[in-house]
Amino acid sequence: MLATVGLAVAQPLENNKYGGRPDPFYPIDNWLASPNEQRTASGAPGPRYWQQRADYVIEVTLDDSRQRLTGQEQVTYANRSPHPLRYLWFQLDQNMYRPDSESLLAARAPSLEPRVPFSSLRSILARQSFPGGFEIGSVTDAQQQPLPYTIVGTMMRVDLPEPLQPEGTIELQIAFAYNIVDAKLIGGRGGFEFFPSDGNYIYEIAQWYPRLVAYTDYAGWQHQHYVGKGEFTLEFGDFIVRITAPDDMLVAATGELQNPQDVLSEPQRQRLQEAATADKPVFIVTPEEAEQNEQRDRSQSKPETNTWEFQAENVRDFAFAASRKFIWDAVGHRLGDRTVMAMSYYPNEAEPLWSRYSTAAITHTLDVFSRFTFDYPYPVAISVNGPIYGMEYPMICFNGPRPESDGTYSKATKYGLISVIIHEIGHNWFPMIVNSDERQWSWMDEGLNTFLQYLAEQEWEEDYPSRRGEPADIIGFMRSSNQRPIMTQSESTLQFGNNAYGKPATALNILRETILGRDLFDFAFKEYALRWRFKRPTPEDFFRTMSDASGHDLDWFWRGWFFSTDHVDLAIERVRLYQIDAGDPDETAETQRIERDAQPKSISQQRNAELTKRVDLQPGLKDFYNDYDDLQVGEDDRKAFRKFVDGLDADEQKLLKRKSNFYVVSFRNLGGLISPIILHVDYEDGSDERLMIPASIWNQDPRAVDKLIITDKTIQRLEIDPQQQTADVEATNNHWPPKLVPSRFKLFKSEQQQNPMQKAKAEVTPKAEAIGDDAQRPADQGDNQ
Amino acid sequence: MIAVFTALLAGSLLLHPGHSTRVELQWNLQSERIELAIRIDHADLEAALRKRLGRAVRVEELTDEQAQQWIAPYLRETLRIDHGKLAPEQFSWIGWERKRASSWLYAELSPAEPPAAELSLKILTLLEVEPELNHVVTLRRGHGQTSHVLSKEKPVVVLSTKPLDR
Repeated sequence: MLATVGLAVAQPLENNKYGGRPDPFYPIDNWLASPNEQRTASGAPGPRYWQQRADYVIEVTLDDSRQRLTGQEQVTYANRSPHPLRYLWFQLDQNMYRPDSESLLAARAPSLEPRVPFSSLRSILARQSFPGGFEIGSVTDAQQQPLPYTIVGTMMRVDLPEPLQPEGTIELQIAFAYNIVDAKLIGGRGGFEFFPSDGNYIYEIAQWYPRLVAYTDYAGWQHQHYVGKGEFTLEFGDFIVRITAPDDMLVAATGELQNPQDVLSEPQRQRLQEAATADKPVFIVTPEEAEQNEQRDRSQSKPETNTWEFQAENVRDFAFAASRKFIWDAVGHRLGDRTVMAMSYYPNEAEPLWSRYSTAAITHTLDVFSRFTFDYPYPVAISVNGPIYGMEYPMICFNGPRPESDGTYSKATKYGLISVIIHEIGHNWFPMIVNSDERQWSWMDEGLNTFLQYLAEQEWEEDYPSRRGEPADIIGFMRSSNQRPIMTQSESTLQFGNNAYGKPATALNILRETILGRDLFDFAFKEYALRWRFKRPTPEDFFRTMSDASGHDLDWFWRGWFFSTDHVDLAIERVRLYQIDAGDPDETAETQRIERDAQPKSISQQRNAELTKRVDLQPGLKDFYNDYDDLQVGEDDRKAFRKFVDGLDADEQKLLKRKSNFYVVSFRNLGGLISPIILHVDYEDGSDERLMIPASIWNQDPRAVDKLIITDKTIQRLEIDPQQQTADVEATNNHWPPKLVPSRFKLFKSEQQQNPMQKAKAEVTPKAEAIGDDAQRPADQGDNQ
Repeated sequence: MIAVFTALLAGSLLLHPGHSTRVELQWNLQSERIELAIRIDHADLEAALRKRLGRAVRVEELTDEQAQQWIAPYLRETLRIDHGKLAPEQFSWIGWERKRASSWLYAELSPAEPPAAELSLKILTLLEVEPELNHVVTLRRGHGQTSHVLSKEKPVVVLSTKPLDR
């Protein structure tokens, strides 16, 4: 709803008496839903906040011979809304793989030039022939009576015989099946990966059962279909899931395993027990055991099966993974007075990278995210390696990076793995527990999660190569065209990674480091997480909570960073110096004399100086004016000044004698985005200081502003945002005196053309000597990604 | 069929990383060459080199000579001026700067013919491994800069070769 409101209504009426200038400090209330008894003006849940609940009991069978899933679910839906419901909607996300799905029909044409690789051609053919989508066997009530249902794209409406009244509950049963997609070939958030070398599969099963659509106080039924980017939001509930799979497969899932005695060997159960109190991860299934398992003879016509029973409380979804290839390691991680089992499942193809880093990345994420929000509330946290590069579900996530076939790996692969695990485990907080609607607003979980990911990465090791979070890294995107605001519906977002992940994460980092400071920000951010854990926040709730808990009106910040595509580009336009003129005629004359003498002679004056002058040849031509000094002070002037001073009181006389410099610095806001002005001042005496001018300096005129700096020293130079804290996209106009900043290319090329001795000499050049050097720094220095 | 193709590309997009590069371009009036700087994430560069060379390459371990040997030809072959491939003599590898998670690559590009008032540069780099990748381009001209977002659908940016009016 918010996305449909244009910036044209930023102010109530057009103001023709202010040059059409926008008012970036105008409250954003008219863009936000009005506070009510469900959602208060402070950003907290209101006294009549409600949300629905859906509890599931699911029996599902994984057919490894046909890569097919067959299941039966019993769902108990509790209507806690104040509205009677005549029908219920379910999500059927697998229908995205139907050949008539909206995601295919509404797809945009790509460029097929210069050529289509074979892998893409294979994907095209596989997708065309893949019989995807849910097959709904039956929908019945608790008495096994059929209920009418209608499938609409990736949703299904089930009509109830009677409206489900407020506080009422209803039980439904749905039989379903679908063919599992080859995720390596076709892609997706779940699917299988086939390993030709040993004939085995890894299954990562997600969005796999008919899931009750969220019904909310602000949108009713969430009726946005699943077409790709926008993930999902669901209702919280308890799950009991029984997964039947070949008996030589390991199964990892959301929740706690209820029947280890039926599906795990005695040594495995014993190792699991040891792992709960171990200092480091323990193999529950070793690499050797996994290798033996994947090589077992599976030629028998009907393999034996195991049924794994998992129970999960207060989760909004359930996912699982299964394979014969899994190595399994685990460690009990203390979090407050609880132990969380951090566990990883991966094939030998993922070694040695995964046993070294996966579970360690899980426990690190549990520590850091818990500190910034609330303690991780679930009993297990699982990372699985398979075909999906990175996707999150409650307590379990799928992560793709693997080393080379020889077991070696690059730095990019190593940090790619650690980062994706931090990110996907981090999603347990946003949106799995703080249940924002990522099908509507991707940034609410991806942006917040990427921000915390950045903090967690920086606590992993010094100078961790984070891809997102630093202001300098978002400059290219901020300056770019073809953007939409962060506050854009997920499917309509342009430059998705930068928009939904990078920009909000960077905005929050700037809010933390530069605008609010760490203490205030961290308090407010934590407050948001605490208020909305196991609840369903909207953007309004986030914006309002951050202002409410930080004690700062941040409307200007949300407006600029989240509702607009403006960027930060502040410039120093000019600097004027004023000094107190006491009016002492002798001082004034002396000053003017110095200024006059300092005026350079013109070239003609210089050359004419040697010429013999007529008045020197004929002195009689000289008169009064030849010797008259027009700066000469008369006694009358002195008397008048003394009289003026005598008329002043002591304070006024003291002010008159003050020798301070009054600098008026004129700033321009060229990018439109409001920002504090961080001004570095270098003085002639070698000292310097950093001035932090609040963003509110722009509230009278968002385009140009003057700032007075009073100092007894002489300013030598000024620089805006020297540490690149604000994502200012243009460094060339950040300096006074102006400074030419060469292109990155020219700077690099000029450095390349120096010989090593020249480079060494340049490196030891004292800073003071480098002042004025036009080629000191590229436009985006500080980008050390 | 094309729609299916797009959807398949979108399918690979379902994953979390969003891929982009940063490109800075400038037409040098004196040398009559395009000056190009492009920042590429190492993971993307490694994926492209793996596809091209058929084996794994660790960017953080490459010497300058290896970068010139492997990265430079890849870059040259993924650029087009006025839709034409670049002959080796049209491409000058200036070097690279390796950072923590990405590298800046520098090259000069010459048109095959004396340049007209405008020429187009098509950037196909990485699109074969990340079809949804964006090249975020900053085009410098004099003291001014304009930005462009290139994609597989629109991979071309147009540069003016005329001197700025004084």
